[in-house]
Amino acid sequence: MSKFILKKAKGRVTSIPKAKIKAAVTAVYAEKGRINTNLSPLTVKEEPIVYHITND
Amino acid sequence: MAKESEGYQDRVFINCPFDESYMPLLQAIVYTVYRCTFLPISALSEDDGSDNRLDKIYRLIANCRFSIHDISRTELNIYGLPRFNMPFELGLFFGAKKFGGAAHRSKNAIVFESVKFEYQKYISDISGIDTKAHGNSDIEIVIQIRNWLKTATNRKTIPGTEMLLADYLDFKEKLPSIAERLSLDINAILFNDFCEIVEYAIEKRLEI
Repeated sequence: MSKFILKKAKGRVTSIPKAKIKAAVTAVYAEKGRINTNLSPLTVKEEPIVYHITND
Repeated sequence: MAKESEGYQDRVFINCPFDESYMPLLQAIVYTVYRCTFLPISALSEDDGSDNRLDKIYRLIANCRFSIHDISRTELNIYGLPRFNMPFELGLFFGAKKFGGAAHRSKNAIVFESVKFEYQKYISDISGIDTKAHGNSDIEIVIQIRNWLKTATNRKTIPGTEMLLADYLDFKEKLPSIAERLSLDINAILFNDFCEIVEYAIEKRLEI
């Protein structure tokens, strides 16, 4: 598989310090966890069927 | 003859409305361009009062092989007049491709409108252009841009639609929290700040 190379702009001026932006993004991604990007086929977990047998 | 600048093959010029109501679509465009391993470029990237606006647009178009144009918002403004900036910049891009010499002959564009072929009612000179209708859906924009870039370049690093959408939706879900931490209004994030957010988000998402 080809390696992903993120293209970045050089010398971009931001209104917020870049370190602060990086910290905010890092915190949110750490907080909510990383979702596996290797998508696998969905598996459906079936609920067990419960039969109620009565003597009526 | 114009010479191809460094990074020319990776740069995507974005010609779209910049108002708040369009912001979710602009954010989807920027995320998709980055995630497909290209670099989004906009007139909003630079803010220099001494720079002539038209010169800036010439320069940006000259430095980008690819271009995304959204002419869906040519409706009347508060003065009752149509907004011509997007169709005008689309014309400049076509002009650069036609008259810019060999370096610009490979220029490639995607043209969005809200309803397919509506442009024929107000800009019939470009009849025959296969525009894409996004119906104001960010998901549709993500898919259309991905497919266009894949067809144009066949880059192996462009993710499949399913993976791209999963990444985009994950980012979209996290963006409000990121904006909140930075005390930003999610619909008014400056272009450069947003690009910086996306770059870090993709790095985190892909753990690169």
